Amino acid sequence: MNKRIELLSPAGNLEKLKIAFLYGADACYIGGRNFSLRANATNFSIEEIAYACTYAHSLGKKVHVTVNIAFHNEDVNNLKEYLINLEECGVDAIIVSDPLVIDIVKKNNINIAIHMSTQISSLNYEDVLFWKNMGCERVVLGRETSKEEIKEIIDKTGIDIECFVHGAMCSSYSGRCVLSNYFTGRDANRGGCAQICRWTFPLYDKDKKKVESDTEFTMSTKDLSLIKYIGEMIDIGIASLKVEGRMRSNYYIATVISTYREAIDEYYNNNLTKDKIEYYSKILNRVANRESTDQFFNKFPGVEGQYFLGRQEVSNQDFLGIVLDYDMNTQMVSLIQKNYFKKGLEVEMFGPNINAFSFIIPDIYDEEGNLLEVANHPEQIVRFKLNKEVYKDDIMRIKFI
Amino acid sequence: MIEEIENYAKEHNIPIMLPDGIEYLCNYIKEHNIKSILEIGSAIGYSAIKMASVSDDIEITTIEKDTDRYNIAVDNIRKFNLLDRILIINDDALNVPVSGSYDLIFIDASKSANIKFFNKFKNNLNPNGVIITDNLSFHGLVEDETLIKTKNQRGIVRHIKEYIEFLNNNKEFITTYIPLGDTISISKRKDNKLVVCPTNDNLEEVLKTNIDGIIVGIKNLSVFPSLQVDINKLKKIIKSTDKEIIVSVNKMIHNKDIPYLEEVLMELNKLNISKILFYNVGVINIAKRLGITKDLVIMQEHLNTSIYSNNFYYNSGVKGSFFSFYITKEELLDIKNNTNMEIMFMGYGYLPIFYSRRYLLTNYFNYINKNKEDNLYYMKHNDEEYPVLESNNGSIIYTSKPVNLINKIDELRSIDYIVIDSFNIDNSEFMNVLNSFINKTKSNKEEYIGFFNTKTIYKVKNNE
Repeated sequence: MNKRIELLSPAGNLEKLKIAFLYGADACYIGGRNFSLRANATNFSIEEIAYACTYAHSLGKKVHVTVNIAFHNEDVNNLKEYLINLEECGVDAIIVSDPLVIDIVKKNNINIAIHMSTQISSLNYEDVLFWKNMGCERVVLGRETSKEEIKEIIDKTGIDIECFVHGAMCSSYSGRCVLSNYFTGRDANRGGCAQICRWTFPLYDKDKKKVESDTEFTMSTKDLSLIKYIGEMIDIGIASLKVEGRMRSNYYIATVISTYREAIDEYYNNNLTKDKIEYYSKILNRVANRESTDQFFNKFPGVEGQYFLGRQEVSNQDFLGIVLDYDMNTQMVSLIQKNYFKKGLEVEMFGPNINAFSFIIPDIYDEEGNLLEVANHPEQIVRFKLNKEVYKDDIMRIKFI
Repeated sequence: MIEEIENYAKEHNIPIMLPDGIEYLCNYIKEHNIKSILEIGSAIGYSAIKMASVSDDIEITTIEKDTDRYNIAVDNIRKFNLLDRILIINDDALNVPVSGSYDLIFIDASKSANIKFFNKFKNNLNPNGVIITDNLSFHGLVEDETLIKTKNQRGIVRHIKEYIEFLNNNKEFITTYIPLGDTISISKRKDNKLVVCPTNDNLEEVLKTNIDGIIVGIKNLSVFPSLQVDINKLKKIIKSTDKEIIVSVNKMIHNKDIPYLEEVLMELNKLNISKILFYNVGVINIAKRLGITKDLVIMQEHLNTSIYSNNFYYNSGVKGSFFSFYITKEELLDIKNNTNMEIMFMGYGYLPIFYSRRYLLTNYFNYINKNKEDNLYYMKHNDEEYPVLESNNGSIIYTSKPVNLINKIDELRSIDYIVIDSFNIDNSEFMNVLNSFINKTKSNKEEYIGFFNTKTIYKVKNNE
């Protein structure tokens, strides 16, 4: 039997890392302040990385750090020191797209595992063998690989293979795109991607005649979601399932990670039924702001893999609050309010230590005990009575299923 | 009269050029129509007089540090009535500010300063000029050190060897050695090779021009350039021309492509082609396994952007790098000067800036329920039209206009290959552009140069 598959979560900051671990991630990948794509995410200082590693290791979990920009000559200063710092922090692996990092790690005997990033578009077993021969411990495959291709790669290389399981994806082969550079002057491969592929454009034919339609041309793709294929992904021997989204919210991380955690555990327990998969799909669809499909995993994506609704994305208001405290004696729950709710609304509570359950919101009070008409101040602490025990960091959301 | 000088030199043990050396040098001057010469080390004026005698319109500046020899040289030059064409200066050449530019710089002075002379005076060379240096054999002592008798000789031999190594590793100059006299070296500024990505339509016409080579893609294994051929057609092209043929297999390789790729690589290895362009690093592995001896050139222009990554690939068996976009001139030259990679750079053409596995045009026309009538459309943004090209391999989006580095070509002399792509260019327009690159005729327009002089923004927002 293979070792159990890893569920790998993004974490844009320490709070999200804690939530990801709490909700069932086996490992988190994070970006440092330097040398990392997603330059607009908050990212981690060295002290925070050290803390994250200590915290993760105390739970028996792992931390991967992205060092995944394409380096230009000027960027290489201080890289060696940074990598040594990461080693000292106890980082389990670095995610790399520029092979110069391999040279620096080897030359300086830095004891840190190297994972090749999806940015290098490894799509075949010879590519993966190349990186294996270079001493890399894992390759994150390009998202254009199908189930059969992934299986053949795993069988022929015998190296850890990581695959994306959920989240947004590049329309191009990852990395093989510099639209941002040309449209906005921002360097896509050094963290400045402006998501030009989500824009829409009028299209013209060779004779410069406009293609008439209400819908403009776009490269935009739907998001990826492989919840339906969890069993197959485990069976073909994938080492790690990666969720995209270092910029995503706490609620998104908690929902997506807990859903995949459950699905994976159910599968290992021979309990992952069609109905459950259906239920998980609904939850995942609801938390996303865009449609998702299975993209390249099961067949070649055509028009159904693309997204033609322009840049409009639905803002999600399902996240109602996060539990601060539960008093067993008074059965009062304290909650940090996140989105509007009021008495009489049917809601759902979920968390790492409880089975999700629904209930109707009773009278709501503020911290001083004043009765509230509605809870509509984000970050306000509110209380109400709940006759089931809940725990700190459990999440209350709208009941939508 | 010239014999008098030769005899004087012999009697007083003054080194002058050996007979077949000076003869070769004078012939070279004649054949290459050299008109202006800078000589470092006049000695007693012998070589300057010989060189000036080749033709009446040759002008020479010659520098001699030793005052006694200088005085004798002035006398000799006067005797030959050449003082109006030979300017002789009595100083250490390293101290003389020279502003002129010369067809030939002849170094025949203190052997320990050869490298310094070379580096100082290379800036005074005309674009097609040469630097010639004498005494690289030092009477055979360089080749056979057992002949060395004195400490002084050993020092000179060491300096000459250092100089030869300097010449052999020089990125700007290419040096040939002539085993005549005391061995002379001829160093020329390297010039780019010009290679074209032709189309099926202009292939014949392109091959007739004075270019160095072409780039051809292998069908089903290449996404660039426009001309994609199978092995049989490739063989025909090779037969039809003596130009260098570079072959591209740069598509994104999936498992199922590998058997065909292996077959093609084995075939290519037997053919008279020079290089293989690729994207996926798996190609390095396969080539090693199959014993492919052709040079591999990596085309990951957006990932392989530093000296260090190029060194990594060089050490993995890759011999060259192809760049086309978003690397600045400084970065490009830094990579050239600090690695052993042969560099190819896009001089003219639309640059691919986005490559997707998906059939984006087909998908779009499906969505709007219309017929896709062509594989090439244009998407418009801010009045700029970006070509979108769909093929079996997916979709490519190009820059809205071709880059044209004709006005920057002098800054790129050390780049090994300049690539001119004819994709999507009207043929007569393309032939005009190609001729401008062949003849190095500048354009009087301000041409689009992409990121040649522009850095992209690294961090959008400072998080510190």
